[in-house]
Amino acid sequence: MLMGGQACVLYGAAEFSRDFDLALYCTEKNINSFRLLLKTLNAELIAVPDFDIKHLLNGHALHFRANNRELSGIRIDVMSIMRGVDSFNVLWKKRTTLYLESQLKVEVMALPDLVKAKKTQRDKDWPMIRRLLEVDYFKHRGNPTQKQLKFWLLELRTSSLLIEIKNNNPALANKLSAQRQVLLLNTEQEIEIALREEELKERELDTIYWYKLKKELEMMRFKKRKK
Amino acid sequence: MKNRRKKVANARSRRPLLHTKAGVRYHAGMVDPQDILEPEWLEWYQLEPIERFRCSAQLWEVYLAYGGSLAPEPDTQSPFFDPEEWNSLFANGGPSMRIIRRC
Repeated sequence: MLMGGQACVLYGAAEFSRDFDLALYCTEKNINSFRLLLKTLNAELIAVPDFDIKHLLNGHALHFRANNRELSGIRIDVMSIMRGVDSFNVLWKKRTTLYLESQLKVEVMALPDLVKAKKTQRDKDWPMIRRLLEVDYFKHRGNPTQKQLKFWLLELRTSSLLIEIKNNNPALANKLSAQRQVLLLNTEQEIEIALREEELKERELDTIYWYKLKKELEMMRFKKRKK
Repeated sequence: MKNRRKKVANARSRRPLLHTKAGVRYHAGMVDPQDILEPEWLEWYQLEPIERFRCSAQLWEVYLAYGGSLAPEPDTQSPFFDPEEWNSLFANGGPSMRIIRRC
């Protein structure tokens, strides 16, 4: 299942991404199919950890580079467990299927899950989240479902749009304000400050989540260099 | 309650439509996308996924034709960032694209 930058391109939040991020369901059958794909792409593992199912199940990412003629140099990163989102089988049920060309069917992580997965410690992911929401909002605000309204109220990161949706749906906004304090605020300035606080909190949570994994990665690199 | 909802819906549908380009539909009183978005982004937002896929593929071709590298840029905020790997990669100037002459 496609996620990361390429998924953001398809959803409209980015124009270009140099790598492919995939979510892989860790079953023996899937791993074997993926190994076959890597063989077809003549792909090599380019960083720690090694290609071992246990690393995927621990939340690590595997990093490959394709070396076949058509896709030479393209990076492929694979994960099975991502912070802040459901397990793979739940994500898969919610996925979006896109038909890009007559023969090309792409399974993409659902927009709400992609937004959650993008809440990382990196600066560059946050404008992306904002744009993911804006595209969806501008496209569907003329005739939204209750689910979309809830999604926008809980995730939008554009103050003027938050005020608009709040004004149009005061009862729902009030109900959801227990989950998101930004919804209690009324001016763009107040909302901007609160959004920044939300971001900092999420970034901190992501840093904490990765602390142990980063230590493991450092240890793996150390062992590899020692060999 | 139902009547009230109907009234609100009717009032909304009576508002003049300002913009009905593909993907962007709004009424007076709603935030105009042009007020908060750069024109390029507004245009990009209005595309369908398949159109974005095609445009992005063209960007790939241009990017590679101009010598752009597929190696990731150093991302010091990424949990996967390995300073030693980057030091060795950039010891010889690195794999990135740079301007050597301005026209």
